[in-house]
Amino acid sequence: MINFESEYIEECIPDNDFLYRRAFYKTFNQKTGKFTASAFKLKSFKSKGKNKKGFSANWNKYSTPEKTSIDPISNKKFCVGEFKAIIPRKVDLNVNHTPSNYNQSHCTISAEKLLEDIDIYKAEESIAENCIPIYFPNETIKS
Amino acid sequence: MKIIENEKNTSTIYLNDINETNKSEYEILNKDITIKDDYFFSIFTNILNRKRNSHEHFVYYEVSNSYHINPIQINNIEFRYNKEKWLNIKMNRDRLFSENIITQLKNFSKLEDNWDSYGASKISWSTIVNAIEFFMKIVDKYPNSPIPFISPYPDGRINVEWQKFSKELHHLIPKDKSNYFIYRMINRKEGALKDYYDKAIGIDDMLKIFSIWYSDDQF
Repeated sequence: MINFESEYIEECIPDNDFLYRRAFYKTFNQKTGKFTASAFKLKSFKSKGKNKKGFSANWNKYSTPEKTSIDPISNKKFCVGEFKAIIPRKVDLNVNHTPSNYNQSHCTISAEKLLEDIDIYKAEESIAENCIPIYFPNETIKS
Repeated sequence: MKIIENEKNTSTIYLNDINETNKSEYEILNKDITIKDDYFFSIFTNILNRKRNSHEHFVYYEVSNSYHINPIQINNIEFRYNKEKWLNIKMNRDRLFSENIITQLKNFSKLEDNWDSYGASKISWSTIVNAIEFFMKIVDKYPNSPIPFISPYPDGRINVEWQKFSKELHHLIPKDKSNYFIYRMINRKEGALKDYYDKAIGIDDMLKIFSIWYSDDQF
């Protein structure tokens, strides 16, 4: 499928491919060794005129944990977690490759319909539980 | 509320009509609050409750360290207090728990919008006050409760994770304490996973959920 807003082609992301997500260091629970649901907040956004809930991640086919860790706007470094594409799909979320000219790896994890607050929390908890923290920039380890 | 004028320009205020009857005493000294007991926190939150429940009580805080919180006034008495002092006071009580929680909440209050790089909202003072009230009530009732892990939640709420052996309780603290808390109770005993999600309406309801989670071996 061609995305007219991007020079890159949208591809299907296989279930077993990994997605990277930036996470603020205060969302990492050292006792459990996991990020909390806070790192996977499904936020409201509009897509093709429809209201949706979702969040962004980077596909490992075109990105690395190091690249993902840097916020492209502020250039600040964040922690990074990885999870398989099948994890959000198991809780009825869509995982779509949505590349932009600036980020070929960009993908969107979103709900087909508007979910209740409790269902959103369930989905976030499920991703948090199955996400493996893989990257911690030096400055976050110190703090 | 009874106000007694003392010598040297100080007044002692007895908030006997509020909870914690015998312990709720504190002093206004040169318009800076001096706390005389460890129960200031519950008084403070009760004051906030009164403000929400009644238009005739309006409370005013002027903060001396150039940090402004919502203006509040009670019965036309002006209170001035210092944010650091207020936070430190809570640290004296149940020190370990409070120190940990208060330090983190203090840090959350300094977060700016977009703290997660994905457009997160900053954590409002009302959420922080609700969180402190909730945690202090837990410490009151369960002095040996574990220290929870707390993290900011991108829509301005606070995410809390409690752990006790194989059991976990995760929940959100809302901005408005009359609003609902979403929670998840987990028990991973002997490899089997018990997982339960629901909503609790307000702090008292959430305290009941905590109490079930904390006391009940099944959850």
